[in-house]
Amino acid sequence: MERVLIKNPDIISKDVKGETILLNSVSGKYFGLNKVGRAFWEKIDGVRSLQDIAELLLKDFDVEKDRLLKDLENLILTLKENNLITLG
Amino acid sequence: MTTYSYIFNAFDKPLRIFGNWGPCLKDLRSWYAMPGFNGSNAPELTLEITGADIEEIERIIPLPGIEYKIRSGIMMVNQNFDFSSYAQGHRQWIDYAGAGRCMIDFSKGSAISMICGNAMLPTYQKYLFAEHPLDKLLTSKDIFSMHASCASVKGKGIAFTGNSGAGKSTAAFALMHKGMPILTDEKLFIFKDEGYSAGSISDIIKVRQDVISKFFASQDACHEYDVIAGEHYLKLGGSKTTIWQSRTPLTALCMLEQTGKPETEVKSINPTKLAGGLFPVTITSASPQFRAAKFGFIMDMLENIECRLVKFGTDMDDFAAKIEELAETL
Repeated sequence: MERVLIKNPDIISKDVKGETILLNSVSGKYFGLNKVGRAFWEKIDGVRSLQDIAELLLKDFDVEKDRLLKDLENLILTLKENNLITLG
Repeated sequence: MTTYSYIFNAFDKPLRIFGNWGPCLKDLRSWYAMPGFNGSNAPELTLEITGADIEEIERIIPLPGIEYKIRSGIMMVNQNFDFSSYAQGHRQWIDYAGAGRCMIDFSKGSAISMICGNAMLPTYQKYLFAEHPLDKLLTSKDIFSMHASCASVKGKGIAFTGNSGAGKSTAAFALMHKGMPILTDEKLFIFKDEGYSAGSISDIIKVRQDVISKFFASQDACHEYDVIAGEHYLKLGGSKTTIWQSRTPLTALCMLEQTGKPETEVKSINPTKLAGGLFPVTITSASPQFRAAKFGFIMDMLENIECRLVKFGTDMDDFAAKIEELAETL
C-alpha cells in the first residue's frame, strides 16, 4: 500500500474515446485500460503510492474506499504481471 | 548476368528495385501492381536483390552481434529454413540460414537482399526477399501495413481484420463476388493522405481450389501465377471477372467474428476493443522507435475512422448486403 508505483519506461500509451491502450514498445504486447484504469494510470508518477492514488481517485469516482482499494490491488497485480509497472 | 531495374510509384514515393537475381526480378512488374513512377525525382526507397554465395553475404551484409538478435524461428515454405532477425539502431537484418539474407536501413530508405541458390522456390523468394523488406522500407515513409483485407464499397474503403480464421479473405471475396473492387485479402497498407488511405502493392492473392469454386466465375477467371502445395497464386488485375483496385480512402475498419449463424450483424465498437485484434501482429516492427511510431499511427487512425464489430454470418449474400448498408450510412 505504501510502496511507490513506477511506470515501465518502455510503455507508450494512447487515449482513444475514453479508454487507453498501453503498448510495451520492446515486447510489442498491448494492454487495454477502461476509464478507471486510465485514471489510475495517469496518476502514477513515480512518487505516489497506491494509498495516495486511491485518495485522489475517491474524489473523482463515486465508489466505496474498500471496494476501490480491492479493485486497484487487482489492477496492480495485472499491471505487474504484464511488466507495465514496478513497485519502488 | 542480366541486370534488372524498375522504378515504381509506391503510394507516391519513387521506389527503385534492381539487381541481378532473375528468379525474383524478371517478372516483378507483373508481381507488383504498382504503376511506374512518372517524374525525375530520385528514388526515395531502394531495394537491391542480388545473387550471392554465403561468403559474399557474410562480407557484404555481416550480422551484428548476438546481443542484437530480436527473434528467431523456422520459416516453413517449400522446406523449413531457420531464420533470425537482428536490429541495431536504424538497421534490421533477417537471415534465412543457407537461403539468403536481407538488411534494411530505415534511415536511408534502402534495403539489400542477397539470395543463395534456388533451395527456396521463386514465389517464396519474392515474399521474403522483395515483399517483406519493402513492407519494412515503407514504414520509414509512414506507410504501415496491417493484416487486413479491404474492399471499396460505394467508393468507401472498408477493411476487415480479425484473428486467424476469422474470415478476412472470405469477406473480401464475398464482396468481390458481388461486384465490389477489392484491394487485398491479406495485407493492407495504410497512410495519411487527405484523410486515411488504404492501398495495396500487389494484386496477387493466394487461394485454395474450394475458394476459387465458391467465389470466382471460373477456374480460368484470372491469370494463375503459380501453384504450390494446392494453393493457387492468382493475379486479380487485368481479369474481366475479378475487380481489383490499388487504393481507396479508408472509411471503416471492421473486426470480424465468426458466429456460425446465417445472418451477419454489424455493431459499433470502441476502437480500443478493436485494437486488441490488431496487436501484436500488426505492430511488429524493427525497433522500439518504429514500433512506437506505428502504434501512434494506428491509434490515431482508429480514432479518425469508423470502427465496427462484424458478427460474420455464413450467408454471403446477407453479409454483402449488410456491408453495403454500412457503407451507405458512413
